[in-house]
Amino acid sequence: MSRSRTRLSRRALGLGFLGLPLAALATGATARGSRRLLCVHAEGGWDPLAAFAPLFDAPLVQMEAGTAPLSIGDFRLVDGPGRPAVASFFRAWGSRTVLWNGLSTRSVNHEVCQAVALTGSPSDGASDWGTLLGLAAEQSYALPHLVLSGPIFPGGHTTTVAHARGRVQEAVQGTLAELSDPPLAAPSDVAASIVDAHLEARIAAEVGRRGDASLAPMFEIAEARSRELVAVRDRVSFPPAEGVRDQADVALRALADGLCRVATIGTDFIWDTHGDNTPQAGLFDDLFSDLDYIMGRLEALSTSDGVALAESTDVLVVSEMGRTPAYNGTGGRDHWPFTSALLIGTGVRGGRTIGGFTNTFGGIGVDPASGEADPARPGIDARVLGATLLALGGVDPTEHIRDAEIVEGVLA
Amino acid sequence: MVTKKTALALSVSLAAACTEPTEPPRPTGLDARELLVRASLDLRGSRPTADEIDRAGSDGAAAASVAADFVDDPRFAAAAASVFADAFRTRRDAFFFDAYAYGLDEERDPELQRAIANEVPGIVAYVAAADLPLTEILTADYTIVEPILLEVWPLEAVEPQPDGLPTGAVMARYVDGRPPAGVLSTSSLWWRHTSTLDNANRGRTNAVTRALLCEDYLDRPIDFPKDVDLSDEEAIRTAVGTNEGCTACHATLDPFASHLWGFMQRTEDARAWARYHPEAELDWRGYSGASPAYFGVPTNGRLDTLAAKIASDDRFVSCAVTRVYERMLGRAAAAFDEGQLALHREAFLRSGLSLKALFKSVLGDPAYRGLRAESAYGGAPEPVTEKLLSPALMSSTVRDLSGYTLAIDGRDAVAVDAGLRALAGGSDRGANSTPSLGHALVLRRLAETAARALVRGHGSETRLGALLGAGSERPDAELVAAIVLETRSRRVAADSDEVDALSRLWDSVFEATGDPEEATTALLTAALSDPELVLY
Repeated sequence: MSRSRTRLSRRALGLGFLGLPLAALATGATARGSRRLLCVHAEGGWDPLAAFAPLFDAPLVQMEAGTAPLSIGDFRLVDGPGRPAVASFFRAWGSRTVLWNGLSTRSVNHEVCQAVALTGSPSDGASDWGTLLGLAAEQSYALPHLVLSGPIFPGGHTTTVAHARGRVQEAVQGTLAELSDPPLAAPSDVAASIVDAHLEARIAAEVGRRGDASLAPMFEIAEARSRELVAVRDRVSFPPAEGVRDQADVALRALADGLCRVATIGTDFIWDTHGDNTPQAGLFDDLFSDLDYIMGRLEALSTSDGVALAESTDVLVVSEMGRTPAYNGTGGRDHWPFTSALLIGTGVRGGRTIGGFTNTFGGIGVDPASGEADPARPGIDARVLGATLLALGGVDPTEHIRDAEIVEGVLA
Repeated sequence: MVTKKTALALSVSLAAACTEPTEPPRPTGLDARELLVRASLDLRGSRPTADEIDRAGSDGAAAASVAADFVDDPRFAAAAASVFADAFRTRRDAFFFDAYAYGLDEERDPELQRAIANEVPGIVAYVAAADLPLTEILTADYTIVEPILLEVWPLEAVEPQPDGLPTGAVMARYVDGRPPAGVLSTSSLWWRHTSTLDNANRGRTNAVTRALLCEDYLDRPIDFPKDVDLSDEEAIRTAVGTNEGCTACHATLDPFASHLWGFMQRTEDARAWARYHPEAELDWRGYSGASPAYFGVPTNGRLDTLAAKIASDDRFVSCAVTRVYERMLGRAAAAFDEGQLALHREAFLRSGLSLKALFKSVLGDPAYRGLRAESAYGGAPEPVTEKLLSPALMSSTVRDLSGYTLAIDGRDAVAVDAGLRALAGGSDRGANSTPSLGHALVLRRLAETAARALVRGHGSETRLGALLGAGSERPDAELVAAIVLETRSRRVAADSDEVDALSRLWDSVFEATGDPEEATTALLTAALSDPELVLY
């Protein structure tokens, strides 16, 4: 984080989450600056040929036996055994879904592809889209970007990201001491609050002594966010969440409560089907069942002003890479630098596919101005997806992405 | 002709010219106490003692002299090892096989996983402690392991055991015929970096070149050639050897990878994974087809030959210097650092590749001391006026002061992602250098538990425990001042504001709870999570 940004953040603190009850910050407004985002990662590299890319007429592409083309509205999909949830989802939620085909992640290495898909850059020093959206509203949320699992690239904006892995539940609840060897009693609330007040004063003094250009102001923000989270610990819960659905419950509750602006969850690293590609069908079926559940929960949950969470929340579903058009010697598919992504929600004009795939399963890009496929572009640059996401969240993409191009036609 | 030196000077001056103006550092850099604290944490993982603080006083030269001796402290080895542990990324929570796969009691799994994670760092720690040339990590015919690995892997302890081993570790040798190649001969490295037949050890190659040569193939932009049918396996195989867009990486990547086939894991069998397979050394012929070579120079394909090539590669030296420099400064090296990196490289070479000498050299760097200065070789590195305690340092500092480790499920919770490491901003490749909510939260919880343990009489021989005694009475001002000295490394008077603030904290908690133990716990919690302890 730049030091000037730090100063801005500190000034914002007094007006932001520290000064207001968290629930009061959760509004149902659909203005772009108020939109929330749930990111779902299908880690390991899904196979678009099993769901999103019906390249049955492409002689060099080996489609799965038993699959067939399927049209639902304007979507051209792949139907086949073991994945009924895919079609069900598009029938139910297709009008809110934009399918991005031919997304280029420029590599065949998981870590690099994750970085490219989520930041537009292979460097792990860049910040991901979720973090940038959280950063833009950091004064309004205790945990601007809550990460329950999945890859995360905070870049320099570590104060805006909370990585809820491991013993986060116990850390927030203050029960770690009971798990330690030997078990110990946690401090009483009253003692903890007195320590809080002491440390707040100590940190303020250090900020004054060290100055705005030091790390002390960032430490002050981090400490304040930590205290705020602990203060609302009765309203938040980070139970061990193994599957997408469990994680989604935690994440959606945090979004509805105004605890975070962006929440990131993942499937775990289960899509890397080198040895045998047949599990992809079941994985897609599970994922789309979970997405259907998420969409239902978005409708059912309300923000503090009684508006459905769905009115202000979009869902990004992405996998860092695709899989090769031909099977390898063991019936698996290896890594492929073009993939697909889904952007779902009331913030987008759904029912359409952006980009596409060539007959050799290369990517076809998109003309950002028209939203039409542009064969001259070798796939959709991940920065276009990122710029569009940032714009959807009311963030000027040019602040973060060089030569940012937004697909305006996608935005509602 | 543009020589390397000219190019360096040019790049440094260009970088200086292109660098945006930054806020000026504190003109005097770190004072004697601050330097001592920083050096002690970076080189020993603990804060300086009261005696060391007194010896340094306010004399910068005296502080530098005291700090220089830290490389001879037994704890220096762990600090040096951690630099390379991050480079090799071996300190992960768990590996493919658990204790059950070896017929061990499942309760021993944390011990097994930790042992696998610590094998490679163990070799580096021994080399650092014994002050051997760093090339030893590539030429050693032994490994350094925790004893549980002797039970499950093809290892035999060396007799007699040398001095200077990491606590609890033993020197051992693999007895399955693998070539002696230091860290490259460890099973644990290849458990961390696995491969598949189709990948043909390419990912492993990048892990090694990244760690030891600072050459990361993945840093190179990958633009897949448009004139190659990427759906045709044979066309890809041909392109890898002939297409300019592919050969830029594969011409060196694949021949390097051909040295590593003896570690290919073909079956899901725990004992087979741990063994070296000499019979598979030539299997590259059926996969990549790339004859073994080291960046264009053909080799005999043996692992120890590869290790020797790396050890004699100039980039091995430069990479080690860069890694130590970046760790000490807590930031990535930039173009304006090139001049200083060259100076430290000279010092490293003059010493015979001694890690102690290299750390000492960086210890004297103006930027490390918070000063902006023009390097003799050009460039004015950005001074480091502050650093953030990493999760690992958080744990070791609290352990040193209190004797307490927050152990959950048999492991230091701050050292594993399933515990608190990820939450605190750490990972197997290092830690964030800027504060985060998770970092603050973990520090606070660690401070609370350590404080509670101290008050319960745990760690009575430690720096804070020895001060406390029974801990059931109101600490007098002298005692509070002593606590401030240990936690902030600063002498304060008994009637100072700092002591008064902590004493009032004790009084407030006692007044609210009527419990002196609770009040002392709160005072120690505040002391152990003080910003002066965190920012150094």
